Amino acid sequence: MSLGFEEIERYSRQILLQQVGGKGQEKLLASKVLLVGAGGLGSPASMYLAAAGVGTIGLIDGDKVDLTNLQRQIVHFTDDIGTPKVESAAAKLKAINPAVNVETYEALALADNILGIVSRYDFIIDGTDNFPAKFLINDACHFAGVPFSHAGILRFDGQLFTVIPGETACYRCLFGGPPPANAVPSCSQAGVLGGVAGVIGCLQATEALKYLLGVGELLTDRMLIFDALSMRFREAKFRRNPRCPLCGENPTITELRDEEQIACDLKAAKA
Amino acid sequence: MQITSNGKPAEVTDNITVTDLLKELKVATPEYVSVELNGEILDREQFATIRVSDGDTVEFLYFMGGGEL
Amino acid sequence: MIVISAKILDDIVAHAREEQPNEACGLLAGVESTVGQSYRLTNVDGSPEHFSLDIREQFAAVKEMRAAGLEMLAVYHSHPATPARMSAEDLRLAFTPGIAYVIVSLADPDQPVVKSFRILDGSPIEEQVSIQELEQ
Repeated sequence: MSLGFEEIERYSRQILLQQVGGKGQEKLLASKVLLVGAGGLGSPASMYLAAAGVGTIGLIDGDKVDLTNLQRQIVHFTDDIGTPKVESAAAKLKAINPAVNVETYEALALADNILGIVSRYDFIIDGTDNFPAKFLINDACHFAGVPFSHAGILRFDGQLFTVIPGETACYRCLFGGPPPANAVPSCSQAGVLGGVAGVIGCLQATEALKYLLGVGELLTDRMLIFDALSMRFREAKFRRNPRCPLCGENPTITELRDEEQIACDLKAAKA
Repeated sequence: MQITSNGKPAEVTDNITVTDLLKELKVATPEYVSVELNGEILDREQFATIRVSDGDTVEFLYFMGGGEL
Repeated sequence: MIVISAKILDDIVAHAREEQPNEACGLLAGVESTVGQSYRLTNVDGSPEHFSLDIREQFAAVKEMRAAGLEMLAVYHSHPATPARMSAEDLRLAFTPGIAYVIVSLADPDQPVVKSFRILDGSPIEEQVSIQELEQ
């Protein structure tokens, strides 16, 4: 494949980079990145990937655009309220870069569909907002052997790290095995400052691009932690856990499983 | 010598002081640890002088606390 | 992640309510990451803004856990008026390695929040709390 004149123009600012060049751009155009979640993190991440010329971008999200999303999910606009998020996002990505092939999956990421979808891509971005989904993506990427960027945001904080399955620490190396069958994950509503979603989502896109280009050091075996209030980044190092139930020496997780429905109300003891 | 440390058998240097025992057991923050030797909670000032003997039972726990600041 | 039964969750929330306006504190014990037992301990500081576990009670609780075949999985404490987040002091005094730090917030009295944190290289990272319904 060689780049056309318009492509050279469009991507000139990154082709100029020594670590990219025409060859790097061609790599991006031939690459496929899947974003699980077209929300706070998926919005900025997908836009930067489209802009950079990642040839195929997959979006999986079962929700429709809601008014409460607009404070931070910047790929969605006011007129998109009620539209499936993947459609709303796809339209903007194609407007940013018509050459990008956008594959949409209007569905929840679940055990019975995620493995097949993940296997079709080169890199996965976890843009989900709940723990069970993060474990599911971690496990699916492990079984499919596809690297991914884990991230999470809450209030004024964000965290992210990259996993190369079989080589670097995974989410379960840090946070352990699945709950018993009769356990339900708890949740609580909390806010998030929009800009934090932007910071972390953009970092995820950056990691994806670095991986695809084969440049720089990936954020593996270390978590980047962002505290917006103090404007500080810090790094927490860790290693693969030999007792990890997924990627350790004696794995106990051998297949994907969905957790029970999330419980948003704790049973409260009466005062 | 053999002692019991937090319920498990442990092989440690003979006649070791409590201070050195905590080092050998790789306790990262010994200044925040309480030690019980054969059922008696020790004063911190005694750590450097009290020695542990063969067959002793040692329990150690980290300080647990927190606050608003 | 940490798995706590609905009953124990109720119990630590009740403990937090009973100790108001002061911080309540205690230990959680179990097997692997499933909590089977909670231990209410005295907050020696008796303060709405600080807590310290009574050391004698700590030693006693640990021995009880061991006798029951359980290990210490977490220390819990309450924030009577602030969110379920580790404060800088909570973090500074989190010396025990390998356990979870569980915080019960009564900031919204009608909606108590329980969160669990693991310390990763000196930083608190929130983890999933799973509520286990006991089989009837």
